[in-house]
Amino acid sequence: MLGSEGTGEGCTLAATTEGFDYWLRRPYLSVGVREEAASADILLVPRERFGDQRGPFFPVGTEEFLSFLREHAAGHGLRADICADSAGYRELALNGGEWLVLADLVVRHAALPVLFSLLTKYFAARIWPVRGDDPVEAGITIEQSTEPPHRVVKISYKGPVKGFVSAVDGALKSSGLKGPPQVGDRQRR
Amino acid sequence: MIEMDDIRRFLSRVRSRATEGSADEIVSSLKAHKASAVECDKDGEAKGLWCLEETLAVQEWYLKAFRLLKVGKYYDAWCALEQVELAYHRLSRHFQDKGGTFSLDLILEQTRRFQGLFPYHAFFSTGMMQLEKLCTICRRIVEIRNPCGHRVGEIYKGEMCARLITRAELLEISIVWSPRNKYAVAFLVDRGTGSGNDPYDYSLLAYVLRGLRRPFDEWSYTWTKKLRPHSLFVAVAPEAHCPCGSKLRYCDCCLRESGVLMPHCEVLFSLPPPEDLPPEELHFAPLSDPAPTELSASKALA
Repeated sequence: MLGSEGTGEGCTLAATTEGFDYWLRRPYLSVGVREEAASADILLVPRERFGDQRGPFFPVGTEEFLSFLREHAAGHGLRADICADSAGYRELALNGGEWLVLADLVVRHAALPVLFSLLTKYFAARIWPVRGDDPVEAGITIEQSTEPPHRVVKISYKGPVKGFVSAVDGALKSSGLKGPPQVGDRQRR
Repeated sequence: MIEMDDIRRFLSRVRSRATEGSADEIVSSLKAHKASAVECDKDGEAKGLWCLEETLAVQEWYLKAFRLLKVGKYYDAWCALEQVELAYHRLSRHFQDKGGTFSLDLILEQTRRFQGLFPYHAFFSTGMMQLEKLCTICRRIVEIRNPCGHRVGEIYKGEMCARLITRAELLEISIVWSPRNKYAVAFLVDRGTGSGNDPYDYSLLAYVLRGLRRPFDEWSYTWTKKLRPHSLFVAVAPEAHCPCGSKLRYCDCCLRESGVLMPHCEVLFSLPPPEDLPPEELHFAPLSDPAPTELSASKALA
């Protein structure tokens, strides 16, 4: 993390160095997975610390989340992948509370509007749907440029699902960074 | 084997069904019909039969919960009500009971109403690292990069796909207020005997149950406040927690006022309750914690 740049309601936004390159160089990835994941537009990335636990793991439900993103992103010409080998894949299940904790995402800027629309659909379509005031926790890292040096920011959100998209959008805009592109920008690039 | 029309009729008459009756024959008939549909590769029909099985599960768990509540087995009833919610949830993704043919929405409403009167506040919750899972449809170990294609929650050959955790590491047990597993209620254990000890005050639930004759008698409740005279609380020391549940000392709270502003539960029965049900009962447990468990109930007729 390089320091906080802006905040929105329930949101914090900070510059980070943990973009695609960072995650694809993690030592627990095999060469094959690294090559496959490099072409992703949306990458689910692990957490590496919980109490005494070390090493990569994902919040419970990530398998379902990835399956949804893979299927629906493909319809928009995008690719979703996960930063994990099958053998090392683990899910952390904390059964207290009503929070839906999503796996952290790293996304290319052009894919952001599609991701927002997919997340909204996912909240309603998942096996335990979340609606309205149900709380969610999510972290989205956005790569703002396609060429080096990459401008990378991480948005963290914790709050009701109904405020998720507008809070993230607001945090991006208030920070003076580029807001999400309109659907279609990607095709024009 | 019971015919399908008769099964549907049985399910649609849940409101008048005897609470003591057995649905075993319906269960076995549904199983047989489903097996036959699966054998003929009729996946749609098998899914429809699965929906009827879950419909029956919602109804039967609710009826069981009501029976348990009536005989004062409150924790068992709590667990049965959780099963109602789970079965309803599994089903709602695939079947909406539009028009209320099987009374599923009414059952869920009644379930939540009963749950709202339980005195449980603290629950245990496990935190675990799930290391290996199986798909319940193909029995393959889940590989995140090479999925089997079966989606959790979908119905395949009349069975719902789920994940079976085959290897996990327990990390922690926490005490939480809002649990995912409602059955994990925190109880006390008697240090001398090691046996369980239920410290909860179920008097409000008991009051409501005395006012209800049948599982589908409608009722509702609202929480208000009612001023009670200090003479009711002479046993409460001024330094003790105020009976109003504020967690302040009695002398710093309501003792300065003209009375104690107590949480009050107003219960509304749609059918006249039995005549021996008192119009008002005061339940007060000054030593119980977390507060407030002090409450009173009164009946009113719609």
